[in-house]
Amino acid sequence: MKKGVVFVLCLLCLMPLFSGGKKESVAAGTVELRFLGMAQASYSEQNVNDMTADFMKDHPNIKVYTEFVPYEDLRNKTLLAYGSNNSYDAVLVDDIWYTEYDSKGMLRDITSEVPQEYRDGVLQGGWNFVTKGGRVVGMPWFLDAMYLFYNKTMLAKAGYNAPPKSIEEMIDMGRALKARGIVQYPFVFSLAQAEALICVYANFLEAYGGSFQDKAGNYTLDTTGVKALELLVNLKNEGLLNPNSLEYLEEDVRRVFSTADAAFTLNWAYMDALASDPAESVLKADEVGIMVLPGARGVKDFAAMSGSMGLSVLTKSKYPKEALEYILYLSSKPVQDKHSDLQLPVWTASYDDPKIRAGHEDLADAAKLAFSIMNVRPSVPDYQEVSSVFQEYIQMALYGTKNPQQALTEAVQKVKGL
Amino acid sequence: MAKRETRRLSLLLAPMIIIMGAVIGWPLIQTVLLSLTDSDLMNLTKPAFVGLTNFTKALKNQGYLDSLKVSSLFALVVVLSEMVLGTSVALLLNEPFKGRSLVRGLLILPWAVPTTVNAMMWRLIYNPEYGALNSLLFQLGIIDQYVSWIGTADKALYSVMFADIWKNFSLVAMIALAALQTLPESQIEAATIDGANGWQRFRFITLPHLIPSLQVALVLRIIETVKVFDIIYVMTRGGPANKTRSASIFVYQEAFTNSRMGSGAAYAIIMVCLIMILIAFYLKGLSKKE
Repeated sequence: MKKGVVFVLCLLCLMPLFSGGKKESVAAGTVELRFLGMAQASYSEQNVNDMTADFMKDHPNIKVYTEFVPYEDLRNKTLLAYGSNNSYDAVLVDDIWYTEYDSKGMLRDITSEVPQEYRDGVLQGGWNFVTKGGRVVGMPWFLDAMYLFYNKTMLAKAGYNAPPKSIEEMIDMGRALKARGIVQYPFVFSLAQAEALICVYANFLEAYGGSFQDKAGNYTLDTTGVKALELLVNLKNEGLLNPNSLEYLEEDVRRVFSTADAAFTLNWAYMDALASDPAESVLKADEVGIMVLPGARGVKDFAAMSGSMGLSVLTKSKYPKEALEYILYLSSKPVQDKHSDLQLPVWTASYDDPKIRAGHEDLADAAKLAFSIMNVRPSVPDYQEVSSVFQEYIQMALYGTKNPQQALTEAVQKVKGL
Repeated sequence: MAKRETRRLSLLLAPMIIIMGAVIGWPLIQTVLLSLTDSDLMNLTKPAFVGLTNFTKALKNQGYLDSLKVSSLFALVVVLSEMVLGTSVALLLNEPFKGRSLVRGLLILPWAVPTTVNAMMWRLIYNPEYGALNSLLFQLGIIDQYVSWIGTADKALYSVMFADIWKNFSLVAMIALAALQTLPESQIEAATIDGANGWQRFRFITLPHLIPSLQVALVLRIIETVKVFDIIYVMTRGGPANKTRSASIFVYQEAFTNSRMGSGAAYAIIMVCLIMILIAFYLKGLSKKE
C-alpha cells in the first residue's frame, strides 16, 4: 500500500513535465494569430518582426506569433499544418503555389474586403497572381523577377561601355571577357537541382519567346524550349559558364559575383543592395549593373519571369478578420516604404517617390519594366511535381547524359503521364 | 510462485510496452493502413481503399528502384568503410602511447556533432570556390583545379558517403575499443609465446573477440544507412540529376512534395520490410552461434 502511494506521488511530481505549456500569458480577450513566413534576405525575419511589433502596438488586442522557414520548406509546412488542423492564420505564398492552394480550398476569398486604395494603388502585376477565378485570395507582398546583374568594370576592360542588348550580344561579351583573360568563367547561374534552376531556365525560355505550356495547357518544351536549354549547355561546354553552377543556389551565385569571379549572373532583387555592400562584396556600387534580361535577337527586347509572393489568410483561421488586418498592414504603403532598403514596395506610387528610388534607381527602373512584361511559370495544381521532373531532365542535359532535345522530350512525356 | 513472478514482471514491463506501442506500434499500423489508400497530404477528401495498388506501382517505378539502389550502395560503402576504419582506429587507441586519453576523448567528437551540422560543415569543406578540401588537395598538387565535389554527378554520392563515414566511424571505433579492453592480455601473451605473429594474433584472437560487438555496430549502422535522409537532404537534396536521391528522400518527395501520402506510405513500408529482412538475417546468425 505504501509503495502504491509513493508511486502515485512520483507520478504526480512528473506530471508537469508532460503537461502542455502555454507560450506566454496573454490578456483576456486577446486574439492570437500565427503567421508563417520565409527565412530570407528581404524582407528579413528582423524586418517582419519589426513590422509585426509595430502592428501589435497599433492593435493591442492582437498578438501575432511569427515563424520562419527556408523557402524549400515553406509549402510543405503550410500544407502539413493546414491538414493537421493546426493551421496558421496567415501565410506567405509563392506565386507558383496559388493555384494549388486555391484548388484545395485553403485560401480565404478576400475580394470584398480589400480596401479600394489597395486595389487602385498596388501594381497590376501583383493582382494577377493573387486572383484566381475572379476571386482575390491574397495580398501581393513583394513583386520580384530575376534580373541580369553584370560587372561594369569587366565589361569596360573588354571595351564594352553599355550592357548587352540581346542574348547573343551577351554571349559575345562573355567570349571576349574569357579570351582576354578578364575572368575565367564570365557566367554563373543557380542551376542546382532546385526551383532556382527552373527560374533561370524560365528566363532564357522567355528570352527565346517560348513558354512551358501552350494556350490549351499542353506542355511544349520539347519544341520551343530546346534553344533555351541548348544555350545553357553550350555555355557550359564552351567553358563560359562556371561549372560549379550545377550545385549553386541563388546565395552561391551572389557570392561568386560579389568576389568578381563572374561578369554576368541572374538573381532576385535582394542581390542589388548586397552586391555592393562592403561587408558582403568586393564590388563598389558603380561597378554593379542591373537590368532586365535582354531577349534573343529578332524575338523580343527583354524577358522576365515572375518570382513574386503574396500574403494570404487561410480558411481554417479562427480569426480571419484579424488575420486580414495583419496582412493588409504588412502590405500597406507606409510599411512597405519604410522597409524598402532591400525590397521594393508593391505600390505604383513608390516607384516615382525620390526617397524610395534614392540608391535604387537602376533597380527601380528595371523593376518597372520587368513587372510590365513578366510571365509566370506554369500555374497548375501539381506544379511541384512538374517542376521536379523538369529539374531532373534539365540537369541531365547539363551533365551531358542526354542531349537537350531528348531531355525535354522525355521530360514532357513524363509530365504528361503524371 | 512462478505465476506470481511472471505477473510481477509483466506489470513492470507494461509501461514500456504501452509506450512502445504508442510511439512505434500505432504509427506503424497507421502507415500500413495509409499505404492501402489513395490518401493525400491534407486529407481534404475521404481516402479510397486501393488495396495493394500502391505497392505494385512502387515496384514498377523506376525512380523508386533507382533510389533503392542509391540507398543500398550508400549502406554498403559506408558501413564497410566504417567497420574497417573504426576497427583500425580502435586497435591503435588500444595501444599505449602518450596522450592516449586525450585522443580517445577526441574520438567522440565527430559522432557528437549533429547530423545537420555535420552536413553543413561538409558543404563548406566541399565548396568548389573556397572549400578546405580543394585548397588542401590543390596545395599538395593532387588536383590542378578546384573540383565540384557535390555538384558533379559521379562524385556527389561518394562525397556524401565520406561525410557520413567521418561522422560515424567513431561509433564503431568506440564499440570496438570497449570490446578490446575486455580482451584478456594473457591470451595475447600466450599466442606470442607460441610464436604467433601480429596478423595471426589479430586474425585468431582479437577479431573473434571483437565480432559480437562489431555485429551490434553492424546492424545498427546498416539500419541507419539504409534509411539515410538528413545528411543527403542538407547536402544535395537528392541532386545532381537525382544521383544522390536515397529511398528515404524519394519517400519524402512522394508524400510531401507530390502530396501522395498513400503511395508515400507504401514506399516507406517496403523500406521497413527490407530493413526487417536484414535484421532477420542478423538474428538468425546470432541464434546459430548461440
